[in-house]
Amino acid sequence: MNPSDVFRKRDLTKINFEYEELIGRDLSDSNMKGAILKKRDIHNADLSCTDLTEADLSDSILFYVKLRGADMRRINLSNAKLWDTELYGADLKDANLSGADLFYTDLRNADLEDANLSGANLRHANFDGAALTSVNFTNANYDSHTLKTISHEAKMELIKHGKPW
Amino acid sequence: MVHENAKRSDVKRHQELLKQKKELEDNRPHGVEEMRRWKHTMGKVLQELELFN
Repeated sequence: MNPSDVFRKRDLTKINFEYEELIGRDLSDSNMKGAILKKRDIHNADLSCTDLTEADLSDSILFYVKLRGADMRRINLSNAKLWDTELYGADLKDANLSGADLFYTDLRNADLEDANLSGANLRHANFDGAALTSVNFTNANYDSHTLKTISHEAKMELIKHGKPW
Repeated sequence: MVHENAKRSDVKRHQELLKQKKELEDNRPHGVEEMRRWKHTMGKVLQELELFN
């Protein structure tokens, strides 16, 4: 077993991550419900299909993290840096992404119903096929690419409440 | 004639930017500092590309 794989497919709800180096680690298919990873640098990690419901990853660094198909309902990602992060098919219902930087993020087929994207940077984020019902886009930053990938209704909301870059 | 030259130069610049964007997409770094530089450079390319939209 690769040493970086020890957290894979595990119940990690009781783990204290305070002293664990998480950069580039494989945490896929794990249960991390309610995990506290505030202000942590976990870039390059693999959290695909992981349960991160109600977890706190506010102010964290998540560059290039794989979160494909992850359960992220009610997660706190406020002010997190999610550049080039893979969120394909992730469940982000009721997620708090206020002030998050989603530059170049892959959000195709993600469910963002009732998510808070106020003040988020959505430049070059890809929302193809994403569910964007009742999303809060207040002061969210977007560019022409962002608009090309979202549905008509969401586009109207983003133009109305967001800020063109 | 001047207008034609300006148009050709615009097309050339647009193609250069698209090439630069593709190169950056194909060479994504994995370190934090490199990633910051990547974002900065990509941001500049996208900013200029926006002018062509």
